[in-house]
Amino acid sequence: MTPDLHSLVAAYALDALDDDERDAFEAHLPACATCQAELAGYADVVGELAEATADRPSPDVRDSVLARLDETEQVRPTSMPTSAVADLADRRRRKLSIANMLTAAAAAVILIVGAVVMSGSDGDGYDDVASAADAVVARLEGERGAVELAYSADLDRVALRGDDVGDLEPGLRYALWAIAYGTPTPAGLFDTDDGAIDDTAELTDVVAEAWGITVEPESGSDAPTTEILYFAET
Amino acid sequence: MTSPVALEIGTFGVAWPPGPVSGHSERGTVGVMTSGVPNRDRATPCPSAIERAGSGDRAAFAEFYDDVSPVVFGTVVRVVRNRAIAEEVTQDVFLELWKQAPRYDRSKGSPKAWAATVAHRRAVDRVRSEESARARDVADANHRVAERDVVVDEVTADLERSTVVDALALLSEAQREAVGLAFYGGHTYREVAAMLNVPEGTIKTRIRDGLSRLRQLMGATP
Repeated sequence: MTPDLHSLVAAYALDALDDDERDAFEAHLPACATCQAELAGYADVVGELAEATADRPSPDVRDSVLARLDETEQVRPTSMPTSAVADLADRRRRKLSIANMLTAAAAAVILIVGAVVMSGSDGDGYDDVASAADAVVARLEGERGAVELAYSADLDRVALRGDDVGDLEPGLRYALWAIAYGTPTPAGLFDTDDGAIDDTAELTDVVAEAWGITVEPESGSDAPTTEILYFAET
Repeated sequence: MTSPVALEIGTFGVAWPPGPVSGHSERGTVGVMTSGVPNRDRATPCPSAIERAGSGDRAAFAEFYDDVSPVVFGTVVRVVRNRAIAEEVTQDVFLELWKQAPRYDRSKGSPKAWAATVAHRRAVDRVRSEESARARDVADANHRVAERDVVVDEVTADLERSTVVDALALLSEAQREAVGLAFYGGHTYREVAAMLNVPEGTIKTRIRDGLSRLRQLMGATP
């Protein structure tokens, strides 16, 4: 992982990162408000740079594009959190369906209800949540492998399981984030046992377009203070 | 090598207003998609063509096409340097824009900026995939880099006079070169560093400083 992804924003805006750095930056971006703001600031500059080379394509291109609209399905808007999830179906295996939790509420109004998080180990494990009737699951990928996530709205619990995440220094814990609209919301703190996670945390009213895991002080943080180690879009 | 951005600063320099240049309100043709909507009102809810297209309105998408296709095609042809391939890529770009239209978010840039961003990335990806297909031949790759240098000289020499060209003229030569090779040449910053024989970190900094300065000059942010 590149040590300072923040320094890559401008090069990213010009598509001047090679593929590995681009991937790393795109994994970092959803959790970094600073980079998002800087990137948004470059958008119109890119538009103007492009304007300077304006050139008309042949009229055939227009005809061809318009003729092909019918065969090209539009995505559903992100302004409704459920849609990002529904769109998942055409991009990757559908594993996590927050849509089912929110369909009614999200029809017109975006509600990000503050996620109510209580930390904690109370003996439950991943399987207890994953086996709930309404459980949805996701697989967060990281450099050390994957961490599985299960969420049950019925149980108001989220669970993580990862065999080899590595133990942390005393005073630190793994923090799960539910990311929506580019903004991460705390979604639980997790301890390890012998380098592995298999634990649950209380979590209610969550909206997630993506999930991420960082390392935070054991009492948690309001926003991620370190790089995202594991990440999945929903 | 010579400067890739052959701008005659003296020619336009005198015309510069003392303050930031607005890319939208002072040049009616620049804010393509906000036509009829003054820049300061961009936050008003009056939906642009692309926003109407986002709910499946094909006529609105045709309007959007007419507004931004020169920007899209121009960007693509500049990077791929072949009109036939550029037309192919342009079609892909517009189908992608149609598909993604429901997610267009005006807080993240004008419709034109959005279209240009998608177009540039597609063009760069197209060039990269073709180059990686041929990359086994190192000599060929070196030859191509030399070939691209020449093109970048041309690329930036004949830009239409516009706000951004005026703004580019106010960057340092090193910044202009880095931004020009990256954007108009479609090179990664590492490639730019290798071409200019300058450390990668230096190019990263030049690109960032150059873009920040352009943003200030064009008054894109407060």
